[in-house]
Amino acid sequence: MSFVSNTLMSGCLLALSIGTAFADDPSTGTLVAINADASFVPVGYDDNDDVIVVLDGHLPDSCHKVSHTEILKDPATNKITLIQYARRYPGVCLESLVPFTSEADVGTLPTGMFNITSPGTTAEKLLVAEATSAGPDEFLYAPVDTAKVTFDEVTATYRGILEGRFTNTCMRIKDVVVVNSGKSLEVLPKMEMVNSPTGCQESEVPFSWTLDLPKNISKGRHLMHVRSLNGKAVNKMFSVY
Amino acid sequence: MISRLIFASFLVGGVTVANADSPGSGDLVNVDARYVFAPEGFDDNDESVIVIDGFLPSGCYKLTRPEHSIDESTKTINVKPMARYFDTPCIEALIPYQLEIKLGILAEGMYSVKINETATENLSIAESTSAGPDDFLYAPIDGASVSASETGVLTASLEGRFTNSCMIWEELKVEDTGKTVNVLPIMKIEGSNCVAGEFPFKKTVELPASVVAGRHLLHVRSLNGNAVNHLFYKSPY
Repeated sequence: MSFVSNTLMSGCLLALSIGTAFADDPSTGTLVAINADASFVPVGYDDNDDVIVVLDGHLPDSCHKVSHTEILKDPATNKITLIQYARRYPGVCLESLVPFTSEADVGTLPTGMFNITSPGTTAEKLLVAEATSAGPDEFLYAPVDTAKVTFDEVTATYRGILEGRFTNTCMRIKDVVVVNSGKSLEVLPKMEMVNSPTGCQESEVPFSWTLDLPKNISKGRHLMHVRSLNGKAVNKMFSVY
Repeated sequence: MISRLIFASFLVGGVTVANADSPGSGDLVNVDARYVFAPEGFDDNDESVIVIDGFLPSGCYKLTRPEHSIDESTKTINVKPMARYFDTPCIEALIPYQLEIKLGILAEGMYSVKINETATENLSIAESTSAGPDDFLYAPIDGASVSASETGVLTASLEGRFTNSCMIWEELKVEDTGKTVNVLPIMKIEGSNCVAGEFPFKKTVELPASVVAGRHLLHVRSLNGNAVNHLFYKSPY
């Protein structure tokens, strides 16, 4: 644990070399807690949402494999602690940091302000509001399957690309709202049903939507958090250089 | 239950009130799956995953955490996709969803994957042949996607971040295993005066022509031990 902490806390990448790791359990490795670099807490959760927190960081070397995230909730203090685990294997490995991203499904939470902590990261605040709609969501979101971020070198613009599948020919994207909350960008792809002279047909219709991300995103790692019609968001980490 | 979704016609788009025999508002309910993907190539030191693809019955449902259990004695993996039901006016159209179920470390053997008590796929776990984390030194992959050309040729795009200037590509192995296309992005270390840093990369690879029409999983191994999973569709036209 101290090795992991020291390595990650140093904040610099290790020089590349081939080394031999520890004499661990050769079959399934040894489960160890590791530090993350940062936690990302999207804005806009209600008390009927499954809260997702994203952890982003680096494994200390290639002898580690990402494992599960333990979620500890203290209702008395509204503190939520996320412990990221990895399995450490013996053998020859690269002594170079290895990027990882994990999604922790915290589940539904009551209304209130929560403190999110995870070893190695700065504590974050999570505000859970009372749901204002009796339905699944405040807006009718498009059914987004995937999201990615690209960089246009000509215009120096980061763009988000959302892909999904409408299930009816009358479904349309109405408006896509981007909320820049600093480390995270919340993307709300609002959908509408439009009238058609030929009527609405049930069909699986793939769609793609490209949006410019705000120009003022700071350098570093960011989360693009895209709401989707099924209630689950699509989370995509990206770097701004 | 699964077949009901496969053969169910899509409902006409519109907003309506759910009918009276629906569950109570806020209840957790079991939902159907349409496809189950059990990637090949997991060893008994891998964190195994399966991917589920399906539809919620209408906009009155909100996907939540799935339930799953593993019976090592019978080599059975039971999964129940779950959603929360809301008894309100909602859109009556099927709603796509995808779930990645992390199964953790599994002992060697052949597992039956049951979704809502119905056997769907088999998941094979082999004995690890390497003392280390993986058989190959994989590239650190962050994301993957698939695009199709006008002639129907499928290309996978991989994105990630090398953390040293001496990390370079060695080979991209692509295996069509039927429903799943496995990609093994193998890298190597070469050169001197290696510098630590973050070096983003993009790599494309054409998928085999043997991939048949329908829904597929692109399963890309990564250096951190977690694979990147991406569902895609190959058109029959």
